[in-house]
Amino acid sequence: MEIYAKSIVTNEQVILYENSKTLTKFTALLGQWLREKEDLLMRDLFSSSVSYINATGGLNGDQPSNISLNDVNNIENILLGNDARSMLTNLEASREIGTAGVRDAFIALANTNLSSDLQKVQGVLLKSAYPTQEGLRPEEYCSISRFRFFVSSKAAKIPGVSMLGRTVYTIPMYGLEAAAKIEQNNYTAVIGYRPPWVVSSVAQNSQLYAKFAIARAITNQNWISGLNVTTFQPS
Amino acid sequence: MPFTIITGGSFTSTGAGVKIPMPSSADYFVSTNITQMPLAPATAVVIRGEWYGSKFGVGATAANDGIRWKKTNSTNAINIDTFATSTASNGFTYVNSAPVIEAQAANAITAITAASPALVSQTNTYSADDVLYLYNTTGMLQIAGMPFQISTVSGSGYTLIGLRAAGFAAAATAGFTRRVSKFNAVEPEFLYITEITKATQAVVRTSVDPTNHYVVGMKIHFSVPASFGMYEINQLTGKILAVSSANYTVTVDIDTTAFTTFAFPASTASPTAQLFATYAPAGSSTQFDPVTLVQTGYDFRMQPFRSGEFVPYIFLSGGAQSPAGAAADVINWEAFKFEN
Repeated sequence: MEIYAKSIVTNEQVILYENSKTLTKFTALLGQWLREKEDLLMRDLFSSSVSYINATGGLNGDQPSNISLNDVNNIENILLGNDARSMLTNLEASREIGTAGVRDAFIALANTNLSSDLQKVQGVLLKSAYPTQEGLRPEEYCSISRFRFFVSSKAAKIPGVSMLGRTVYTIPMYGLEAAAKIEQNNYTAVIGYRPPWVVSSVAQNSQLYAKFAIARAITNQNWISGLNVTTFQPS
Repeated sequence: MPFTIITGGSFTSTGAGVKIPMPSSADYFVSTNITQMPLAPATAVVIRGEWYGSKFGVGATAANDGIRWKKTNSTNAINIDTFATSTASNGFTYVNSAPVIEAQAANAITAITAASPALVSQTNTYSADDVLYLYNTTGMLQIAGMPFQISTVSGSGYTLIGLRAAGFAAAATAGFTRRVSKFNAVEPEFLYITEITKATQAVVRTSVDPTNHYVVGMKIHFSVPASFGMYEINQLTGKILAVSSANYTVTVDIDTTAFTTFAFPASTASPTAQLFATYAPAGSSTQFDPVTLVQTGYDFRMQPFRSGEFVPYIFLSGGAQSPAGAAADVINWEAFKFEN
């Protein structure tokens, strides 16, 4: 179990003139930090403690190569062979022109630098071609084979370590209950306020804080795998 | 005036690089070589270094750089330039992301022997136990992109205990290295396999010392592509029975006697051969013997999945011309964090 925290000190002058607006704004920012930090911690778990396989189906001449359909299918084979269960239910086909149904799917997490390569993978279905847009996350990018890809600029990458010295991006790909974020009862996330007479000996500064406890775990290595890839254009 | 948080400390240099955690991050960092300050050394010794963070925008310090204050040879006069100025020396590197790369200029290799263990020829300033990514290893492309822990280090080369390359078709004739941190963000981390014996209890060699990451009793999950031969062990989970820091090996309770022989694919098969063979942590297996009252398989400090490398930190390169100084030098440091 690990505890993470962040605090903000507010000066007396702010308190006198704009206290409520300032506290509201920074409370929101602390809440955002709290969830983003959780995401980063899970990213670190995936990038550190999971076996990845180098993509080799791309044509950029590097090892790992850029992502290809064969590489994605290889990971699907691994997960299915280990009886992993898909994370997302299917999206049924609709009568919307230019759309198609989406199978139940595993999750893949990719760096935003891979978005142009994802568009070129054989059989890719961009999010706009899904039969419905309801309930989709903004960060979802596309569906390839049995995986739905989510992208983030914060996703893991290791600069300069491919065969040709380019940046390697790791794409964790997993099914249901492959990893866990364990939280303590009544300590999942706390956002608090400490008034000036507590923080400062002359009652000058107040403080906002956020803290949470978390334990991370890969609960079943059979249900998580992933790809190392490089980009088609060097990055 | 806004707040400025200041912290500081002191250490006695061993001549090697020093890692200083910066839990509140840092905007400005100064190191001072207290030992060399009153002296007039002969070789342009650095007595003070300064580093500027991203807060300074275009004035921020590049990786492995910084401002260096150095003595003029054998006098007390000071010259000020940057670590990147000719004659260049290693400076500061601020690391705030994981996986942790201490971004440095690529360092060229001149050869890797096809021997067991493999020997690397390279002009370097590395220290024993450093972990390096090797890439563009001409003639040995099957290891390009793997991290290796190094030992028996001299200024002209080092040994890779984790690579028994006698079976390789040829030596490497060129290549590059980049140093990374010894630990990943979360431990135990997945490790790269370089050898698996055929035995009733398989002995698995890795490219780095597994005893820094795993203990007896932990379980590991194998990922071995068919290009490495022993495909039968792929996706199996085994329990660690023994670990060796001398050989970079773990012994597992998997009988590989009847499996296909493990072997690296040929260099000529890159980049299409599937790489790499790895194992990843799959939990612990703690046992208690009620007869002997001995518990095995549990080490409080090494349990999965614990935090590994702490970030952010600042890395001070070692050596007389670098911020961490030469052996026995006393170095004072101060870190500053501005409010805005």
